[in-house]
Amino acid sequence: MQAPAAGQRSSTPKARPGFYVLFRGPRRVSEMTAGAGGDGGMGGEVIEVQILPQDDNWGDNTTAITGNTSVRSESFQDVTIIGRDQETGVTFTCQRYAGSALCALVALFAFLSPIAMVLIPRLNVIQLKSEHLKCDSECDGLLISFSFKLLILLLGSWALFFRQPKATMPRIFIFRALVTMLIFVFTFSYWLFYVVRILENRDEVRYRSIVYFAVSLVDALLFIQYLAVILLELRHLTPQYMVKVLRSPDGESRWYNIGQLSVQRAAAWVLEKYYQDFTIYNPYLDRVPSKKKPHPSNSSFKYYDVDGNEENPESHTRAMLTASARRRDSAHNERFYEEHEYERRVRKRKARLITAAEEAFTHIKRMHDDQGQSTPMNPHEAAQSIFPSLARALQKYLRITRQQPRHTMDSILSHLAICLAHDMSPRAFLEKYLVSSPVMQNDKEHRGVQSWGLVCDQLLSRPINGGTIFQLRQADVCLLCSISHIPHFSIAEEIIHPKSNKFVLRLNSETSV
Amino acid sequence: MKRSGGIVNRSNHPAYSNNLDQFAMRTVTLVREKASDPLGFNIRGGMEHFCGIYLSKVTPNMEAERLGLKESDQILSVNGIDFEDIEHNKAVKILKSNTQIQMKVRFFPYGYKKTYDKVQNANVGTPA
Repeated sequence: MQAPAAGQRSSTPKARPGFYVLFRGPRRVSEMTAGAGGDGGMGGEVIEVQILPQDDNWGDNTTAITGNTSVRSESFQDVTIIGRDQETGVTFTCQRYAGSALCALVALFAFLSPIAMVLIPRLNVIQLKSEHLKCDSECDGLLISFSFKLLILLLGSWALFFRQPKATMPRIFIFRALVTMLIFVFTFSYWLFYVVRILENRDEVRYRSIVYFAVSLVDALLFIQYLAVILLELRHLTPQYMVKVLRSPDGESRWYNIGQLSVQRAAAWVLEKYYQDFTIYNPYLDRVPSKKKPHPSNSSFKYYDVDGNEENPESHTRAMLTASARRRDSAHNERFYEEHEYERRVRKRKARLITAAEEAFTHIKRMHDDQGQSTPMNPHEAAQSIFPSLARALQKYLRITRQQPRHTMDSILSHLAICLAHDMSPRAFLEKYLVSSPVMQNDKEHRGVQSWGLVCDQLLSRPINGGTIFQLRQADVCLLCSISHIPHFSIAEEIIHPKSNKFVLRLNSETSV
Repeated sequence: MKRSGGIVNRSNHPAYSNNLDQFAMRTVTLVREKASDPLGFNIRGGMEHFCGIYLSKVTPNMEAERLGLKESDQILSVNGIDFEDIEHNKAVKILKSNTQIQMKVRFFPYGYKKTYDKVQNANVGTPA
């Protein structure tokens, strides 16, 4: 079957009037009077309007525009859509855990090496004379301290590092890579020395020196862990910069104090704060919802001066300027009054909603053992029974605050059931719909993975500095983060002499002389 | 060019006077027999209020009034002692102690009105 080439649209115009209007540009008087021969004499402002025929039968014979050229081929659009579905693919999971997995592997290797170094002579892998293997009290003490240090190393690593990685970052995490490399280098060099010194000189080596060697490796590992704690956990805790986070479509902004971090880690930190502090972005509330249709006379007509060459240009432009200024002022006024009106309506519906909820909650009482009048219900059934009495008020409130895409009836019912089960008051139940404060209040944000795009001028693994600006993007939300230094505070002591702490009454009184 | 409708030219106004003689400094000498006799006026102000010494009330039908002293007069000096930066008590003591007082005064209603202004706070701390 031959599909028409992509991009073509076939249509036959009919003479039915549509809604298109065309404004003609300014024309000279002479042109107007040339053909018509009459009305050129009317001076002042003229608008010419022409109705274009609208294409009303678009449903009959239009072609869908896609990137496909045949039914069987895939288009580039599909490829990008596949690429965009990153959050659940296997490659993404690999990428998410790859860095941590590598570090965990190296750390495990480092942890097991001292144990291996101590155990290898004992297990008769290499043949040592049995009197060399004797372990006196000093060696026993060393072995005990060795095991305790290993235990502390294990507990410390478990406490700090055994957790899900917070963010998948585009560039390598430099400090973690540094620590991992240090561990690897240390362990490798210790094994090297072990093999060269101990396994080569089997005759002179004593077990005590092997244990000493292993204990020194454990000490080195403990110090590396100390360094890792400082670099990864403590360094960024003292605030050195202030970051301003500005959300694009609605203009909400916050300021935070942030420590010394690389750009990508700072972005992860900002996102943490974003999900905790910012309000939910409601794209439907970008324009204040107004009741009335836009007044036809408010649309901005352009005034073209057809008779312009005969009027005084200054007075005419002044009239046009004041007319346009008046229209602009009325646009500002409209915004103000619309917003005022909208807030009034929201408050009215909120009051009705609270009243309805309070009334609905009085119908339900916790069943005590001695009451047997009506059939007992579990919380979910109780929720379903009182929901109809507040459904209408709730629905109207959600509709006016444009929240109804966010809440399904199931979610409302389950939330009501939870509140009833825990003896929550009606206002506590309504909090979820009245307060849109942290972004996590939105159930739809409770995904496992949130992907954001990071845009920055400088390399992402470089540390942030005053004047750094980076941007985080997700769908239509855009966070612009700009970094500035916290000023250095110069605090000087000022001494107030106790003798100067005296006061006098300063009445401006008159004295007769 | 005079516009119609009520704006009178400045020089035609009845209260207009470009004679500044009333603000000039003048010397007034007051003599009394005993130091306990009242001079006949009240003074106000002083260094602690950051202003000069002003006459705030002149007793009627006394020598001071006849000599031309009036409210809003600022005393600039008394017997050669400068009164522009002097404390109130000191000024009172000087005025009360002498029997012959030669004052230099000037009519200064602006400064006098400022003595009735609200008290400003003393500066605390040093600016950055």
